[in-house]
Amino acid sequence: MSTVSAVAAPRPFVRWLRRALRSPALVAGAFLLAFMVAVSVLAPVVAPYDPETQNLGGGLAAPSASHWFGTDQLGRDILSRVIWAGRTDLRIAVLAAIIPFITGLVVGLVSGYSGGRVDWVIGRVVDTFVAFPFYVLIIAIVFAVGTGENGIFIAYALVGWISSARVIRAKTKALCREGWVGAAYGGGLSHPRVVARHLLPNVLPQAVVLLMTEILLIMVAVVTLGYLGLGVQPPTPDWGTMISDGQLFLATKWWIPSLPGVAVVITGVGLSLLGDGLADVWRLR
Amino acid sequence: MRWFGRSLLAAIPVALGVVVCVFLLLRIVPGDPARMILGEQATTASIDALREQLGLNLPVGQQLLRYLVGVFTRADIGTSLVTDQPVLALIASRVGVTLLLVGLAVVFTVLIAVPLALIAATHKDGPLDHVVRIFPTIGMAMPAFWVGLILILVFGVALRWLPVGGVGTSPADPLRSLILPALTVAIGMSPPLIRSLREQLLEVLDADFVVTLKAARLGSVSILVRHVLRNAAVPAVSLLGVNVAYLLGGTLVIEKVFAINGMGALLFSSISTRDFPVVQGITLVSAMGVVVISLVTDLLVAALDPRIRAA
Amino acid sequence: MSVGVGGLAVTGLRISGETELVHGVDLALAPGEALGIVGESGSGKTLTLRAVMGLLPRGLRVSGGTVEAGGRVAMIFQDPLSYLDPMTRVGTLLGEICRAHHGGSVASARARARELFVDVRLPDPDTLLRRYPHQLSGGQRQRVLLAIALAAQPDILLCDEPTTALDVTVQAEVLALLAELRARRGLSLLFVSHDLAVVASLCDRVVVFRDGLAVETGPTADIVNRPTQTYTKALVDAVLPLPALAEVDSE
Repeated sequence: MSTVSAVAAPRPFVRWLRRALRSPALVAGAFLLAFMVAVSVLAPVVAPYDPETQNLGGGLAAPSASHWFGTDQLGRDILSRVIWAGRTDLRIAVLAAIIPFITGLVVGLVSGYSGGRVDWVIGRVVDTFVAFPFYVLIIAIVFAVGTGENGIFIAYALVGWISSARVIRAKTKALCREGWVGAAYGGGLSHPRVVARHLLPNVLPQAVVLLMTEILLIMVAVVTLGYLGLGVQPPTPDWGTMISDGQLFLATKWWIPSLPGVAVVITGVGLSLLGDGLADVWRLR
Repeated sequence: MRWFGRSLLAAIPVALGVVVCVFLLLRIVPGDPARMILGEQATTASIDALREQLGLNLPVGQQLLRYLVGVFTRADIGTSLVTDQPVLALIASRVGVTLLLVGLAVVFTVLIAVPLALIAATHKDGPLDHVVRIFPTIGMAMPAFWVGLILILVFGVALRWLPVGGVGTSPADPLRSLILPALTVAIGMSPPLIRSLREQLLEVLDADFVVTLKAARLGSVSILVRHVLRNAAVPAVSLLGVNVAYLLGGTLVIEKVFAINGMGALLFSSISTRDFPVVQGITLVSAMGVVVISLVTDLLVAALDPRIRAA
Repeated sequence: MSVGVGGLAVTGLRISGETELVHGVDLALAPGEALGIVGESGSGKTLTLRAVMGLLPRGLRVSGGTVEAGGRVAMIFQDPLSYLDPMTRVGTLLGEICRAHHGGSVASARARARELFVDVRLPDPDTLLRRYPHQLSGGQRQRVLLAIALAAQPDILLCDEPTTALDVTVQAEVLALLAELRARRGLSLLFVSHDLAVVASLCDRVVVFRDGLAVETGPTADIVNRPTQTYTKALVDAVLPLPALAEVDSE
């Protein structure tokens, strides 16, 4: 892929957009994701009921015309709860992805560009982290620093940068081997300049695709932690806690624990497809 | 065996790093770790007693040294605050079921991923290929615990084929009760494996040595099974080994869904009783398990690939 | 017109991928003859061989013309290390191929493999049969490829730059082996190389390829001494002779 040109003309973007629209994965993913995001952002407007209003007499009702997703054991409308929970979970997933994304990008670039001892030390650190099963580490960290949103942010900031760092490092190394990087340095640019002006734009597409995967992983982790009681705490609505609260009724009122999971899957598939689509368009696959 | 010596040597700093990281877990607690463990209601006296017991009043360097020495010389990874048992003994009593679950999950993962990747690679860009490639995309979006619940719903409740929850009493039962949870873990594990295996297979299918075999008029099936699979298996085994780390964590979560009394159940009960040494110990043991599995994977790969043995 | 056993007739062969790469090539190989194909990279000579064998790479296909081969066709390749399965012992591989061609038990196939190793002049065949490709030298690997090709008892042998990746001394040995096998078994050879000197030393006739077309054909002596096309002339001139060195006075 050629280096980013300094000319900010609209035409390259239009060309890119046309190419993007030809990828079914990208279109489908973008559509799904946009839908979920829109519903979450517009939750106050879109949700048919208040998610907290209880109606003990009308609890455990099956899906019907008035309650599309049915009601839970306290009579709360499940659809509204799912919509509001999506707001929480998506917000956390996106925000929590920022720091590990930046960290992974920087570490990968530095490690791949420097080589030698710096690369070796970073490599050992990465190897150490990678030895920990992901969820065990997240759970242990959340246990130590406290549950809830902050716990998730800290845990993922400490742990989530590793897989993207590895991929970025490999890509940086491959780019450095192409020779023009050395030429840029030889031409008088300082190291940070070379990295920022030349390597970064070429590594960015891969990084963005990785970002999609990271947000997906965090979202699943948030929901899983919620299920385990270690994530978002009540009364804040969360898909995970909804599922764990509803597990009692799995055999009898299946919709209570199942439907929130469907929302997770739809969002996740959207992210996944979008990532795949972007990778296709940028010829990374 | 020089290559194995090198693998072993590379594993040592990782093992050390793991122990140090686990040690640091207690130290990232905001505020006083003893207070975090005992809760807000705790008296100053009990907090001080706990600090003495955990050695928190010593300088950090000395604490680290004590911990390192304890781990590597006496296999002492702590004592439970709740039952006073050595953490290692506690874990040992529960780990058997977890290992069985993991083993079964690996078998299922291979049974799912290999045929699907084969189908996709041999029908590249065809309809079958696209169908198979959708699975990883959807699979990655499904939280494992939710998949477990759906499987319970379908196979346990609706169809009543398999038992749900717990590990039964008769000898055949443990395995039967582990089928659904193992399948759940396998469904979570397969997506990245299917993708990578398919890529490896495609690379190998276009390899030069396959041209020689075709030129010699060997049958396609023969070529596939005797030569292509073997060459593609090497990076695939490496990949499986790498993914076991992820698999281990997921297994512990799944244990909660299916109410299985393994290491995962121990982890979660320790979290609710705030038994920090046990949580720490489980983290350490799982990471060490991963290091061991990496070494075993290296051995397996060398057994498959004669070029590595020669190095 | 039908070709005899050991003959080959290629008429108007076209090979295309996203664009046409070979634009209508005619070749004729008489039984027992050695025909050399010379040309630079990208001239389509390897693709033509692959098409004769029916082994075009993924994405390419024969878009026109016909190929008629009389009898069995076998092929040897350029870089034996990548053309041999790195995870199979060469003896096992050869045995497997012999079984595929002639059936029989594993033991009889092994015996046949050993015979073939002797035919291609591999020293100490019992030891080498148990080796993996990376444990053999370049020349030995090429002989293994040759043994694999001979297992089919072919009438026509296609050679895709088999000496290019070899050291010069080894190259000479392999060429000599090819010549001997041709004489002993009456093989027809179709020999591709970018090196005119190598082709000239082995082949009766030569065809020159350029950019997907056969630009000149003729007996070797004619091509080398009296080339008619400018491109052929350039190829002939490009073959570096040993420079005339001044004699150093010995004291």
